[in-house]
Amino acid sequence: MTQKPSGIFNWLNSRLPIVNTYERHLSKHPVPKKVNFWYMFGALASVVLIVQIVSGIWLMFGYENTEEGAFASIEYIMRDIEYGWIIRYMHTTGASMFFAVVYLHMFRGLMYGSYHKPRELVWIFGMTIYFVMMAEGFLGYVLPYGQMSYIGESLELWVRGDYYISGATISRFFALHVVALPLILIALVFMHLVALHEVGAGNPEGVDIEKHLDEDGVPLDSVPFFPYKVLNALVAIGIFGVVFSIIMFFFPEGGGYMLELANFEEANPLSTPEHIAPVWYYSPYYAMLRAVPDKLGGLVVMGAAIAILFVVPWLDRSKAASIRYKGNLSKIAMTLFILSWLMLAWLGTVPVTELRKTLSIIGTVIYFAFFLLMPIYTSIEKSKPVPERL
Amino acid sequence: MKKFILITFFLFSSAAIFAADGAPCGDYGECESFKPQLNKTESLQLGAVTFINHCYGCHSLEYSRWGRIAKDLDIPEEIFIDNLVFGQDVKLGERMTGSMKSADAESWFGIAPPDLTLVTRLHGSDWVYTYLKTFYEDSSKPYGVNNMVYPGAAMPNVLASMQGQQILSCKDLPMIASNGGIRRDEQGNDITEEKCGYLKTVSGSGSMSEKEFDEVIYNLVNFMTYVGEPSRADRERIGWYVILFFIIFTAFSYLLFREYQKDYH
Repeated sequence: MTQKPSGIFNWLNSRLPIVNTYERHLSKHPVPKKVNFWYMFGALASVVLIVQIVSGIWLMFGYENTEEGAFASIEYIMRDIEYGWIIRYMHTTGASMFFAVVYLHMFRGLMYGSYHKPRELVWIFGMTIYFVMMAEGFLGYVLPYGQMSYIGESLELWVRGDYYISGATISRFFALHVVALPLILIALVFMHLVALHEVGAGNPEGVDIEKHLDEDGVPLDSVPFFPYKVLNALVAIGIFGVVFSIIMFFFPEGGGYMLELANFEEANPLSTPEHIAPVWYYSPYYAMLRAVPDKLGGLVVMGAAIAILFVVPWLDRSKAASIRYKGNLSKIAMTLFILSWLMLAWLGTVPVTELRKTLSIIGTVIYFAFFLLMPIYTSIEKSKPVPERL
Repeated sequence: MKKFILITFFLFSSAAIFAADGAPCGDYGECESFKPQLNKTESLQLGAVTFINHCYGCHSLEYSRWGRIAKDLDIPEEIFIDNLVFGQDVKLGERMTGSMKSADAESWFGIAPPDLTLVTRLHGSDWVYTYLKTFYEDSSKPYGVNNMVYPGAAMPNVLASMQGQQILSCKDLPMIASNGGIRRDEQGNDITEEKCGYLKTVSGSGSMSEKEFDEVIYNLVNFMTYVGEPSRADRERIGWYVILFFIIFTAFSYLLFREYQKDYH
C-alpha cells in the first residue's frame, strides 16, 4: 500500500477498514521466520475448504435430493453433465484430502504443542472444526443413497433411536450438508484464524518470539506474512496439487477407501453388503466402536475419543511446548500414540477376528492412556531448556 | 530413542497379522486379472455387439444412453440404429432401460436381472471377467448351470453355445510335503492325490476355441468397464496435463520463494 490511494479507494477505505485489515493480517502480520513443512497443512486445509465449497455448489446443480432420484442423479452428473465427473471426483477426493490435511495439521499441533498458552482457544476452535467436519462428511456420504449410504444411515437412525427412513431423511441431510454445517464451518474457520492472528503462530522449537522485539515492537525472529509466507504456501499448494490430481484422475475410488464400491449399487433395504466399513477417515473411531462389546458403550468410547482432544491444553503440564524439548516419556507416549492410531485406522477397515478385536482394545487403551496419563508424564519428566531465539 | 521407536514398530507389525479375508472370486479363489483397454475402439465395439445380442435381452444399462455409446465407440448413427438398436421407436438420446419389464422378469426368474451399468465398478472388472468364464454344468440348479465365482447365481449360461459344456473335474496333483517340497515315494516317484473342483471344457462342444471365447469375454468386459465409467479414458488423458500444470506451478513458485527467502536468511 505504498502508492497514493485514489479517490474511490479513499472513499471506500474511510468506510471499510481495507488498509488496516490488509496490514494487520497480511503485510505486517508477523510470523515466525523458521518453520517446517508441518506448518503448511493449515493453509492447505483452507484451500481444500474452498475446493469443497465450489465443487459442492456445482454438484448441487445436478443432484436431486429425493429417495427415487438421488442415486440416478449422481450417475447423471457423472455421465450427462459435461465434465460433471471432474466436479464429482474433485468433491469426493477433496473430502478425503480435507481429512488428510486436517489430521496432519492436528498431529502437528500435538507434536509441537500448538495448544500451549496462549493458543488454547485456537486449538478448541480447531477441534470444533474437526468435529463439524466429521458430521459434514457423514451427511455427505449418505446423499448418493448407495448401499453403503443406506447402511450408514441406518447406523445414524440407531444413534437417533428412530426408524424413519425415507426421502425426508435425504432432504433433511441434504439441507444440513449444503447449508447448515458449511455455514457453521466457515464461521468456525474464521474464528480459528482471528484467534490465531491475535496470539500469533507457533513454531517447531516452541520459542516465544514475542520476547525479543525490535524498536517498532515487531518480533526479531519474524517475517511479514505477505509476501514471505504466502510464497511458502504457494509451493505447498503446488506439491499438494500434484498429489491431489494423481489421486483424483488416476485413483478416484482410492481402492474403495475413498469411494466405497458398495455405493455403486442403489440403496436396497433387503440386502446388506458383506462387509461394512466406513471410509478411511472414520476408521480409527470405528475400530474403537467395535472394540467395545456393548453398542452404547462403544458409542460413548467413540465420543470420548473425540471429546478428550478438546481438553489437551489442560492435560499437558510440560514447560516445553515442542516435542523437541520434552522429556523421553513424552516421546515414548507420542510414538505409541501414533502407532496405535495407525493400527486402529487399519483395524477399522477390515472384518473383525478375535485377534483383531484384542488389538482394537489394546489400541483404544493406548489412545486414551496417551491423553489421560499426560498430566502425570509431562509433570514428572525433565524437559530440556527451550532456546531464547529461533 | 530411535531404537525404542524401531522396537515398538516391529512389535506392532508382528502383532498385526494381515490375514486374507476370504477369496474375492468365491469358490474360484483369486479372480483372473483383467486389464481394460479403453482406447481400443474395436474391442469396445465388439463388446457392445456381444452385450446387446446376448445380455441386453434381460439386463438394462439404465444410466447409459444409446447415443453416447454410438459417439464414444465411433459407430456411425445409421449403422448403430440398424444393427444394435432393435426397438423401432427408440431415440438415440434415451436411456438403455432394457427390454424386459421388471415385474415380468421377477415372475419368470424369481428375481429381476440386475442393471449392469455399474457392475464393473461394484464388483470390479476382474470379478465380472472371471464370473462370465466360470459357469459349469450342475443338474441340481434350475438352469442346469452353477457358477464358481457366485455360487447359486440365478442366471443361465447364455454364452454356452460359444464356450461349450464346462464341467467340474478332478485332477491328480503332486502332494506337497510339510517342508514345501513335493512328496516322493521310496522309488523317487512323485506321490499324487486327486483334487477336485477344476473347470474343464468338453472339447468340440462349443463353437469357439478357448482362446476365441476368452477374447469375446475380454471385449465384453472391456465394454462393460467403459459403460461403468464412460469418461475414464478422458479422465486419464486429462489427468496428465493437470499434473504437469501443478509441477510447473510448483517449480515457479519455488524459484520465487527462494528469491524472497534471501531477504531474511
